[in-house]
Amino acid sequence: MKPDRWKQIEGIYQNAQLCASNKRESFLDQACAGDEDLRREVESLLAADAQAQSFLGTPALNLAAKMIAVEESSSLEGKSIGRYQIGACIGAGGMGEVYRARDIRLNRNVAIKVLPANLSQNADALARFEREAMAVAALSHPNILAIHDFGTEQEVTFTVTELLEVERCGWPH
Amino acid sequence: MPELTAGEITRLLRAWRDGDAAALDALAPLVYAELHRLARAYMHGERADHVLHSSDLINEAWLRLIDWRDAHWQNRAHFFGVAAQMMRRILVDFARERETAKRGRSAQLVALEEAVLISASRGSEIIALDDALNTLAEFDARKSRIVELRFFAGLDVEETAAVLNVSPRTVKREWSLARAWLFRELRDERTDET
Repeated sequence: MKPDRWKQIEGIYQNAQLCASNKRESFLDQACAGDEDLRREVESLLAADAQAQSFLGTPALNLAAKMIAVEESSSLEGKSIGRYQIGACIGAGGMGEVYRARDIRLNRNVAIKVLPANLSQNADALARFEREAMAVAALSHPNILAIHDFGTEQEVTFTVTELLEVERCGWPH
Repeated sequence: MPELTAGEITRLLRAWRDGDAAALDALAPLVYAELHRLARAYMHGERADHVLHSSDLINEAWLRLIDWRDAHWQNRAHFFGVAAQMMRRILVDFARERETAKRGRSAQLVALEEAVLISASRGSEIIALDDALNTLAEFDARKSRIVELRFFAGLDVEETAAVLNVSPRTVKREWSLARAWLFRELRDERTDET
C-alpha cells in the first residue's frame, strides 16, 4: 500500500462513517469519482468494520491467560479414569487428546486417548470415536498400536492402547 | 514469582529499548507470572460463575508489572510505548512456543488417527496479527502503534491518546480503520489457507 493512496482511502472511509446510511452510496459515488478500485477498497473496509466490532476487544494478555485457563481446566493430567492414572499429555488433535497413563490393575504403562470434553456430548463424534476404536481393534499388525480397552467412565470416553515410547525418536515428552 | 523491584524493571526496559535483547529474557518471567495469575482468576471465575471485568484485570496486571510513576522516565507516555512493545514481543513469543509445542505433539498422532485436525487457535491468531501489524506499520506507523497500545498493552482510548499525544477522537477514528484493515487481512489469510 502506498502511503498517498492509503491517505486517500482513509479520508473517504472516515467521511463515509459519518454519513447517514441512506446517504452513503451517493457520498461514495461522488467521493470516488469513478475510481472503481478506490471505491471497492473503501467499501470493503466499511464492511469489515461492521463485522469487526468485537475484534481485538479482549487485550492480548487476557486472551493468552484464557488460553492457559482452558488448557489447564480441561487437562486430565494427574487425575484417574477408572483403573488408569493419567500422566502427561503426549498429543492433542481435533478428535482426541492422548495421555501417558498407568494401568494400576495390570501394572503397566499405556497410552489413553480421550474424546475432548467439548465433543463428549456430540453423538456423531462419539460414534466416530467408537468406530475408530473398533476398526483398529480388528487389525493386528506390528505397525498398528494394539487396543487394550475402550469405555466411558465419569463421562469421559476413552481408548487405551499400548504406549509407543517415542522419546527415542527425539519427540518432546 | 520473580522478585524484581520497580527500578530493576525500569532498567531492563531501558536496556531492551537500547538494543539489549537479553533484557527481554529477564522481563518475560514477570509477564508469564501475571499470565498464570490471570489464568487462575479465570478458572476460579468460571467455577464461581463470576463475571470478570477484563479492563480491571489488565490494569491490575500493569500495576504489578511496572511502576509508571518511576521518575527515571521522562514521561509516562514514553514508558508505555516501550512497555507495550515489550508486551507484544513476549506475548507473540508465548503464542509461538505454544503453537510449536502443539505441532510437535500432534506429529505423534499419526499412528492413532488418519487425520489430525488442529483448529485455528488463539495462539495462531496472535501470531498472524503480529505479522499484519508489521505490514500496517510500513504505510501507517501510528495506526500500528495504536493497536499495539490498545491490544498488546490493554490501554483504553484515553490512555492511548495520552501516550501518542493526540485527541481521543483521533484514536477512535484510527482504531476503527486499523481494526477493519487487520480484520480483513486476517480473514483473507484464513481463506487463502483453506
